[in-house]
Amino acid sequence: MQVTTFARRELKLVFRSPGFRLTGLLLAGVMTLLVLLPAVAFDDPAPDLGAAFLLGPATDILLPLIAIVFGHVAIVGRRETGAINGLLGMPYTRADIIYGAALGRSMAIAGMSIAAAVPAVIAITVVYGIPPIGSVLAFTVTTAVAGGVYTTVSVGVSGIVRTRIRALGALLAGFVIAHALWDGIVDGVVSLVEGANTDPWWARVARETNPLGAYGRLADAVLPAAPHVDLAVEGGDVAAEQGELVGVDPTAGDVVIPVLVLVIWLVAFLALARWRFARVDLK
Amino acid sequence: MYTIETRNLTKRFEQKTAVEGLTLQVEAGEVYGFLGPNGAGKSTTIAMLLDYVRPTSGDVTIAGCDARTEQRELRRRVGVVPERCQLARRATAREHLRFAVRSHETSDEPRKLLARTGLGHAADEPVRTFSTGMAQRLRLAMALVGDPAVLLLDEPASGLDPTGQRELRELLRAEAMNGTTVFFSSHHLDQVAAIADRIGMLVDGRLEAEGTPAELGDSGVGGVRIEARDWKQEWSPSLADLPGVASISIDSTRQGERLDIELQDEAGKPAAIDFVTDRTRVDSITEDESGLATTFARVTGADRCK
Repeated sequence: MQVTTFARRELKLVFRSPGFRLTGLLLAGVMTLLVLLPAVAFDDPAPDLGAAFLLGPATDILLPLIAIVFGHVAIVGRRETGAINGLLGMPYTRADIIYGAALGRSMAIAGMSIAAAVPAVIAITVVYGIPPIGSVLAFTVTTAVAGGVYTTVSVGVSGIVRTRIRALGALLAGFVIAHALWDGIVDGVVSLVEGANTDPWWARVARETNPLGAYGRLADAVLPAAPHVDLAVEGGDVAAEQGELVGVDPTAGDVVIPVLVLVIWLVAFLALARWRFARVDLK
Repeated sequence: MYTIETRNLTKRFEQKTAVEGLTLQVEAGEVYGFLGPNGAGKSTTIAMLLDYVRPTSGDVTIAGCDARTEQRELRRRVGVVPERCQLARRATAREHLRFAVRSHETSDEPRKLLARTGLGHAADEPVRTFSTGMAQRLRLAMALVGDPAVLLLDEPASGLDPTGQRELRELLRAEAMNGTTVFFSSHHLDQVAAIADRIGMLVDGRLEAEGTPAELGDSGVGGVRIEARDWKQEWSPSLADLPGVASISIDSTRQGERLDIELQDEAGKPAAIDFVTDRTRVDSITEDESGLATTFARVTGADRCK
């Protein structure tokens, strides 16, 4: 009960922030622009192609960064301003504050990602025709859940460290690693430990545990298969043409494993934050 | 059974002992003023009472709750005004109160609490438009939600103008009359003396003196405070050695120096005043009949002779 009371307040405060609304508009704008790209590159593109472009930089890069921005201050920001002392003067435990902040802010970011998808889906419908509703809905829910997990991890880090700048630094470093360096680091460790041309089981597991990768695989599994794009150079111009649909039907493993990975990240950071925050002096 | 009880409470940070061996007992309905200079350990003590800071050793019990293990119940029974606590700038005073009421799961009316703390006119204004004093009144209103058995206030008068300070005193007195135990810290003697039933004087983390204002005042004959300019340190030993002078403490002020002179007997007063006025330009002389200021000066004096 206390967690939901605090989460409601958190949600209200975040929604009221002008920065949050502006960021939501930015996310919606980028998503909409991206789904319109096929209309520029192809003649008479299919709705499936437009829907496939829902997954892109807006959800891969912008959404995690938004989660970091709104999550990293949740606990440590309040420690720096002393607001945490006011909250803990009410009938909340430290765990309530961690869980409530994570829940409230995750709901805010999830809500933002769903709202941002609406204009993009309208644009797909207007420009290409009606997209596969089930896939688009599943993608929207998946993205909202991933946004919630990224936010929870950010709030967790906020509960672990002592300053806002450390929280932001740690989260941005984590984002860069997850986005660009994860597989390279795993491959480097493999070649150091096992030598070249091997792919041990633990390396495959390590690759699967990338939270951004898990979201990408999950989104791939729920979105319609993207048409293969043929590019040809004719007289100096690049011509793009839609080919046959590629990809295979997702298996249960394509969904379950990424979901499990996201759940593990969520639970691990909540537990770590709770453990750490319960032991610090708030002064 | 005391409403607030600490036993041998100690807090050591890496390089510093903030509070050492503090044993306090505050009875129900009592107004306890926790007095001490800045850095004496008052806020650390209150932080330990509320489990914001974990003691290195010792125990805390408030309103029958162990501060360490019964946090939620303790916070239901205790209203808190922390020393440094930022409010949500975009939320209105009424929204803050509604949140506090929901958090306490009570049926208090925000309107009444705001009126009681003098904020009825600003109920729907966002906190970012509030002055320091208005924000402090709002914190106080939030602390009153749920009709707490104990009020813990860390420097509650900070930011309040004289009218606000008087209203605060009246409000705390009224709460105490209703049986609420009030524990508040301050580094201003006059604020504490005006309201407290009992006073604890904390210096360098130790409880140096404790008692009713009368008891603490009786511990000295009295004293005199002189605001002077261009006081030279080399005169201090001679002043302290005057017949009838118990001790002196000297603090620098914006204009010059403030000399708190504790007396052993009445004969020391004119001698001390003459000694200072003969040597420096004196801005003011305040005679302390109660001796409370003298006691405070004696236990807290950083620059003390004799």
